[in-house]
Amino acid sequence: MRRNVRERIRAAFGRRSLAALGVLVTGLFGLGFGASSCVGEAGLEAYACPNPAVFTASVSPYLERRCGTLDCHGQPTRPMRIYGQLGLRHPVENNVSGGVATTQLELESNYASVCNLDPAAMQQVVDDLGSTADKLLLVNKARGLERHKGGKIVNEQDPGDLCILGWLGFKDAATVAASCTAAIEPLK
Amino acid sequence: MVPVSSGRFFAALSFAVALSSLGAVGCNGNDPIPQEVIDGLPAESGSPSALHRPGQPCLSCHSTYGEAAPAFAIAGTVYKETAMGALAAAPNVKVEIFDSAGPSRFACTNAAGNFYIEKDKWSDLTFPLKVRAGQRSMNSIIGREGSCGACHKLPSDDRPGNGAGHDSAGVVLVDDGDTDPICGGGAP
Repeated sequence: MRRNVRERIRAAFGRRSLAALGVLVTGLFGLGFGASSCVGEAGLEAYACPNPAVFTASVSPYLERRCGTLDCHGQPTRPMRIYGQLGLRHPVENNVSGGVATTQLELESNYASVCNLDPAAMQQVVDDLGSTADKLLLVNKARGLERHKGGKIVNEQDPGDLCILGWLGFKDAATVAASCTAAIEPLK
Repeated sequence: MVPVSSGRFFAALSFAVALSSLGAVGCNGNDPIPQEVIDGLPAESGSPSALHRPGQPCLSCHSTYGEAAPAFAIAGTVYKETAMGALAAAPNVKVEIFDSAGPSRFACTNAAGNFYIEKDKWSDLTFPLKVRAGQRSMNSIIGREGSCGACHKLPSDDRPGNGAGHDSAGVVLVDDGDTDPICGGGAP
């Protein structure tokens, strides 16, 4: 009986089709196995990135206002997801858009999001103290030099550009804060 | 009929399906992201008019993709809260839009609270935008979305009250009586 069924299947689909089906099933199994063994959040904690304190104090507030609106990077489906008071709120907290100030978890998530956008290039930026910052997607997309759905966000050396570059270049907190504050002002 | 092995038949069929899918991606009705929004909208009650579908993301349909006429540059719905705390349409409200390139323009809300500016009448609209509805200005900029309802979502089970949630700023609200004579209302 079992042999009859096998022969019927072979007759209906042919050996090549069965072989292709076998490859497909093996591939799907492999995909599932791979997905189940993805690196957990704990494994992503170590990454190279400039000063987190300067980012959370100055750069994140600028990115939240300029990039993190609900129609841009404040969408859960977009790369470089940005959380913030006026945009998307972190799903594990019960805050609403426009509600309480950006939380520590959201600031840390923004840092992780920006730092891991382009990890190899960011490692290089950390190694050379920011001299290769103009190679980062973060910088080039904002400058409109890389394809960016939101278009050109900053001009070279304007306050928004200097806000991001100052942080990437390990500038002191006060210098970065001054640029970021100047960049935020027209967005209010 | 020329006999074809089932393996070749399946290969040919797969190729044809892949080819037709590829063609379909470029056609209206087959872009999954806007189509999902359109498919998620409630059924039309009554017939389409300037008063229909208040609070919904207008440009999902009134756009090049959605093909509903007229196409809009920007459109939305403005609400007020009644003494009982319920949401009600806010007619005769002046909605002023400031784009990044030129002078501001305005539209007036109708009896349903809906307002719109047709795409033909503002073809060079340049994002980001700032908006003021009545006496209230938006706290954030608009990055690239012409539908207010895409971010200012209507209340739902998980977003009670005015619709504010982790991914929604809630409906656009003005104070009761915040109308403008230029829009047929009382004194501002």
